[in-house]
Amino acid sequence: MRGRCLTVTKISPELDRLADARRLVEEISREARLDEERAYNLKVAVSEACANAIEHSGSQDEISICAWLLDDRLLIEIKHPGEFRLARAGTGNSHRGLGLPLMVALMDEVTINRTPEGGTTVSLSLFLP
Amino acid sequence: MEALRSEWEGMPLVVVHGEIDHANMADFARALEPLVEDGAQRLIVDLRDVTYIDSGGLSVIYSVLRRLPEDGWLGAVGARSDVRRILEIGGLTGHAAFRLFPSLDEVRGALAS
Repeated sequence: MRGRCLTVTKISPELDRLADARRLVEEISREARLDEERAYNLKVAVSEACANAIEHSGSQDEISICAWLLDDRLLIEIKHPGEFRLARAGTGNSHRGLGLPLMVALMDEVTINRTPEGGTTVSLSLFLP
Repeated sequence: MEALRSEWEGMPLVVVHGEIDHANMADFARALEPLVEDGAQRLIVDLRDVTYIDSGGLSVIYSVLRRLPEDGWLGAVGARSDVRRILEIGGLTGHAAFRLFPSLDEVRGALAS
């Protein structure tokens, strides 16, 4: 990828670490000079992707957050060794599935890739002018 | 996040401070659900001091809306523009039992009419 890596940060897969991920996104947003609205949208999307990894993937391994400032976009990759799942069985709450739609609504591009090792990479892009 | 239960004009009022996310959404739920279980028809949630909300908070609100009696509503007061955007994208502003108010004055106006 042609561009600048802003950070590679790992967080342990605990929900209490979501706030740390959001503080990290605030720093990334400042460095990428995002406006307030997009910075907030990015905070939500990253928090959602991490929450999904923590709550549903079954993985006990760290989640890595990589931010890249590319020619045309700010790219955040959230990677973890678990599978991407929409929800655990038996949650019984029909509105628990809002995280993914929210990510898609807030970002310019979202891709979810299965890595050869069986892990997941969620890539969030905000296009830059 | 802090959620403090109070009362306003005879209605239950919950004042929330801080960020509502997947880590503390259960606390947010615990502040609201007993009110519905106790039979509240309408409740007010003061969001003026809420700096962050995502699908965790949205799902708690949806869960409360589902359990309100017919004609009941949850009024969210003072949501900041970023928070309001999430409430809109999350579909709450289109929900019949969800009302968005800039301040308690507007709630008073809605009750009077």
